[in-house]
Amino acid sequence: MKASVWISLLSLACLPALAFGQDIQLETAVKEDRKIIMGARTDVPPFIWKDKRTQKYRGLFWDICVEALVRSNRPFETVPISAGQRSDLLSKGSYCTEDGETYDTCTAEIATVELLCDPTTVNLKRMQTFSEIDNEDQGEGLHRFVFSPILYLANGSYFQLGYPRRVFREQLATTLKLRCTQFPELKPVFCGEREHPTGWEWLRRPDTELFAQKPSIDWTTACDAILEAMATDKDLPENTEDQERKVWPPQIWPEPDPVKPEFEIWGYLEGSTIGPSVVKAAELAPSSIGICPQAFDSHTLATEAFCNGKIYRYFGDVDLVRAAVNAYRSNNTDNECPADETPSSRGTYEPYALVLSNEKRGFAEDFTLALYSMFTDGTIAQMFDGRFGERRRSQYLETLFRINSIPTGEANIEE
Amino acid sequence: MSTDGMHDIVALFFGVGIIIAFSHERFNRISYETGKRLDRLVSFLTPDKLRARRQVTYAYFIYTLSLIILYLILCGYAEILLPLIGGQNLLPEIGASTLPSEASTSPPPASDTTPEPTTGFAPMESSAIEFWIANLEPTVSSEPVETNSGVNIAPEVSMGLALIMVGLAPSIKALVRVDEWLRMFAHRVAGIPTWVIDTSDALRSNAKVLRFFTDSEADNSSEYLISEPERKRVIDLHAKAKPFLGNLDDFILNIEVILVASAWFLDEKLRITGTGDKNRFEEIENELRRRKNELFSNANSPDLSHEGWEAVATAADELASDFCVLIALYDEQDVIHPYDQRPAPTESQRRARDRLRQFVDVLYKNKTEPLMQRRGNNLALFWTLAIVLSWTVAWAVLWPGQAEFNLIWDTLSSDTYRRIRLYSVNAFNTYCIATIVAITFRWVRMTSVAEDGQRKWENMRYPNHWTRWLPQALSLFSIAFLVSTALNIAVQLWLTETRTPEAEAWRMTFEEFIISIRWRFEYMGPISFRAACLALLVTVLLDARQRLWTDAGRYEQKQLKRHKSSDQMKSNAKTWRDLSLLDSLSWVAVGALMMLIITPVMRYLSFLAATQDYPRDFDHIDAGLMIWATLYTVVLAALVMFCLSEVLTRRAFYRASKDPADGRVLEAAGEE
Repeated sequence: MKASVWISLLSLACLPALAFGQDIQLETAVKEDRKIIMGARTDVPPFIWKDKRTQKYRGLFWDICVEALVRSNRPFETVPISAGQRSDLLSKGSYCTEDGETYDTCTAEIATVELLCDPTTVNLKRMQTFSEIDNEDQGEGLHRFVFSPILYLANGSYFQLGYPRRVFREQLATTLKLRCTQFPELKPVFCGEREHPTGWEWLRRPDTELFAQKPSIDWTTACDAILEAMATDKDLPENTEDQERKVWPPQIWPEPDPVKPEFEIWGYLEGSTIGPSVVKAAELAPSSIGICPQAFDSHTLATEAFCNGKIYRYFGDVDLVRAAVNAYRSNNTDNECPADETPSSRGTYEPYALVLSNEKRGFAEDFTLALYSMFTDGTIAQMFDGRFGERRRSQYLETLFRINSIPTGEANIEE
Repeated sequence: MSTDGMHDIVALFFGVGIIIAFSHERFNRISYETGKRLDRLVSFLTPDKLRARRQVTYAYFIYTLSLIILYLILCGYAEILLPLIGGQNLLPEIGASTLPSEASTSPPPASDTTPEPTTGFAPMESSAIEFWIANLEPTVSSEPVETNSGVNIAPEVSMGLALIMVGLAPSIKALVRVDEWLRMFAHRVAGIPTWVIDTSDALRSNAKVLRFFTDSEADNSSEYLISEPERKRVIDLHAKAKPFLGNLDDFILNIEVILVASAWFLDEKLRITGTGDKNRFEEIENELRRRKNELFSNANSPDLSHEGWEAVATAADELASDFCVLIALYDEQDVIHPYDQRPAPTESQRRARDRLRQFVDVLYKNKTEPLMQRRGNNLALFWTLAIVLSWTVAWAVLWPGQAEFNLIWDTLSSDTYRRIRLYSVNAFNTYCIATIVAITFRWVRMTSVAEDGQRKWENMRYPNHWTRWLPQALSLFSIAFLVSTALNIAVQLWLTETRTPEAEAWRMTFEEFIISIRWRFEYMGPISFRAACLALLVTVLLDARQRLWTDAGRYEQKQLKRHKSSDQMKSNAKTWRDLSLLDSLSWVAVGALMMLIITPVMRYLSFLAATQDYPRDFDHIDAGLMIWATLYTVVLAALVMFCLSEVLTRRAFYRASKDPADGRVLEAAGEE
C-alpha cells in the first residue's frame, strides 16, 4: 500500500518535468509532422489544373483542398502528379518521381503524398487495394490511404463527333484501304475484293452466294492493325488507279460490294474508371461492327485525336471531356471540333473523392471535419457556383451537397 | 404515315374512279356551236351517236386519259397549281387540325428544346454498356431502302378535285375551260359533228335517186314502198302549191325524200338488215314523225296564203335535211348495210334496197373515202400500248429487268411489284404517251382538209416532197417528245420532291425550280427521245400500210369498172398482195437498228446529265446499264414493228370481195 502511494506521488512530482521534455520534442515534431505533401493533378480541368501562363494551380478541387488544409491548420507542399503517377499511387501507394519512367524500372526517387487533390472515383476495388497495401507492408514510406467523403458526382459518358457515324466509318475505311499496301494485316479486312473479269466472263452471272457472305473478321486482331495503321506517321499512299475497273468489260449483273466491315474507334483515358467499361462495350458490340477502344495517356492527346476525327467517341467523365474539348477549341481556332454532346447528358455513376493518408495522425479526421464544415457553411456550394456558374447542378449533385451539409450539433433556434 | 398513306391512295383511286364514271356523261355534252343545221336535233343527238362507235371510242379514250392525267397532275401539285386556278380553298388548312380532348388523357407535350445541360451525375435508364452499343448496326444495309409509299395527297384534295372536275361540286372556272377545250378537241378528233353534217349534205345532193313522182302517169312508187294515198298526196300538193311556190321542184323533192325515208325507216317498211342498234334513235324518229305529221296537216289547210306555203316549204326543207342526217347516222352506226348480200324476200323489197344503195352510194364515193382510212388507228394504238406494257412487265418480272434494276440500286434483290410499278409508269409516260400523241396528231391532221382540197397529213412513207413531210415529221416528233418529257418530269418531280410537306419543292425559289426542271429535262429527255423515235416509226408504218391498202382497194375497184389505174397504184396494189412475213421482218430490222443506234447515244446523254454536278468517268456499270437499256429498247422496237406490221397487213383493210360479180362490195375483214 505504502509503496504504491509513494510511486504515485513520485510520478506526480515528475510529471511536469516529463511533460516539459515532451513539449520540446513536439514543437519540432509538429512542425515537421503537420506539413502535408499534396499531390495535385496538372491536367484535369475544370477540377484541378496548372495554368501554363501563371504556373498556378486552379480549379474546384484545388480551391476545396487548399481551403480544407487551411481550416485544418496544416501547412502544405504541392507536388505535381501525372495520370500515370496517380495510377501508381492508387495501386501501389507510391509513385516514381520521374514522370517518364514506369514504377518498376524507376531510377529516380520513389515518393508518396499525403493528400491526392484529384477527382478520383471512389470504388470498392480501390478501397480494397488501399487495405492490401498496408497488409503487405512493402516498406518505408508506404501509406495507408482512405477516401474523403464524396465531394462530387460525375457522369461517365462520352462526346461523339458531330457528323453521322456512317461518314466516320467511310472515312476510316477509305484511309485504311489506301494503307493496305503499308500494313499487310489490313488487306483481308479492307482490300479483299474480287478479281475483275476478263474476256467474256462479264456475261456470266456471278454466283449470288458470293455476295451474301458476311465477312468473317477477327475484330480484335483487326483493331490492333487499324490502331497501328492510324498511329503511323507514314505518308498516305496515292490512290493507285490500277485497282479501278475499266469501262470494258462492262458490268451487267449486280455485284454489290461485299458487305464492308465497319469500324469505329472509341477513345478513353488510360487508367480512368470508365476505361474497362469501354473495352467491355467494344467486346459486346454487335458482331457486324468492330469497335476499337483506344487508350490515351492524357486528355490533351485524346482531345486532339477526337477533334481531328481520329476517334468517333471520346469517353470519360463528361465534365473533364467538355473542359478538354473547350480548351482545344480555344487553342485551335481553325478547328471547331464538331462534337455531339447529347449522349453526355446521361452516364455512369462516378463519385469523386479525395485520397487522404491515414498515416499522419489526426490528418484524415481533421481534413474530413474541414470538408464537412465547408459543406455545411455553404463554402463548397459557393466554390461550385464560382467554377460552374453557368451550369446548374444536376438533381443528384444537388442532393449530395445537401446530404453532406450535416448539422452543426450546436444549439440552434431551428432545432 | 402508313394509315394516312393508305387513305391517300384510296381517295386518289376513288377520285380517278369518279372521273372515269362521269367522263362518258361529260364527253356526251356538246362542245360545238351547232348552227341551225343540228339545232333541231341536238337534244336527241348526243355526241356519241354522231359517229360510229370505233371513232367515238378513240376520242373518248383520249378525252378520259387527258382528264385523268390532268387530275393526277393537279392532285400531285395541288399546293402549287390550285392557288393558281383559284382552288386554294380545297387545300387543307395549315395549323392544328384537332384540339386536345382532355388534359388528363393527353400525353405530356414532347419538349422540342434539348434539356439544359447539367453538371454532375444523371443516371441512365439502362445499363451504360447497353446504351453505348445500341444503334451500332452497319450503316450500309444490303436491303434496299424502303421508300415512302404514301402519296401524301390529302384525301380532301383528291376527292374535292374529282367532284369539281365531274361537275358535282362548285366548279373552278379555269378547269371548266380546260374541260371544254379537251372535249372540243376529242370531238374534233372524232369528227363530231362535222362528219354528220358533211355526210347529210352529200346524201341530199344525191336525193334525186329517191324521186318517185313524175308528171307522167308512170307509177313507180311501189319501188319505194310508197302507198297509193301517199303518192296521191304528192300529186295533190304539187297541184295546190304550184301557184304559190317558185321553187316547186325543190319542194316536191323534199316531200319525196320525207315520204320515202319515213316509209322506209319510220314505218319500217324496208326490211333493213343492219346489226346496229336502231333503238338508240327512237327519240329522234318520234320527233321526225311528229314533224312530218305537222307538216302535212299544215299543208292540207284549205286556205293557205303565199306566206303559208313558204313556211311549209321551209319546214319541208328542214325536215328533208334532218331525214338525211338520220340516214347518214344509220349508215355510220351500221343500222343499215346497203351492200348486204342477203337476198330480199320480195321483188319490191329488192328494188327498194337497190334504191337505198344508190342513195347512200355517194358516201362511199366521197373523196374522204371513210372506209379506206378509218381502220388502223385503233389497231395501231391498241397493239402498241399492249406490246409496250406487256414487254415492260415481262422485263420487270424476269431476270433482265431484275438485273438492271439491281445494278442501278446496287442490291442483290428487289421487290418484283416495285419494279413492275416503276417500269410500267416509266414505259407508259414515254412509249405509250408518245404513241398516243403521235397517232392522235396524225388523225387530227388527216381529218382536216386544207384549202387546196389536200388532206393536211402527208403520207410519211410515200411523201410527195420533203418540204411537206419534213416539217410534219419534225412537229410530230417534237410534240410526242415534249408531252412525254413533260409527263416524265412531272412524275419524277412529284416522286422525289413533293411528297412530304417538308420536301424541297415547296421551298424552292423560282431559279432553283428552273434549274431542277432543267436538270430533269436533260436526264429524262433522252428517254423520251427514244419513245418519240419509236412513235414516229409507228406512224410511218401506219402510213405505209394505209397507202398500200388504199391503193389496192382503189385499184380493184377501177379494175372492176374497167377504169385505168396509174402505174404507181398498180405497183402498190401488187406490193400489197405480195406482202409477206419477210416484209414485217424488214420493218423489225429498221426498228431494231434505229434503237441500236439511238439508245446508247441517248443513254450516254443521260449519263452526262446525271454527272454534270459531280463529274466522274464513264465506268463499267454505266456500260452495263447501257447494254441493258439497248436490249430493252431493241426488243421493244422489234416486237412493236413486227406485230404492227403483221396486224396492219392481215387485219386492218378492206379486202376486195372474192366474188367478182359485184365490184362495189367491200367486205370488212378486220375488227376493231
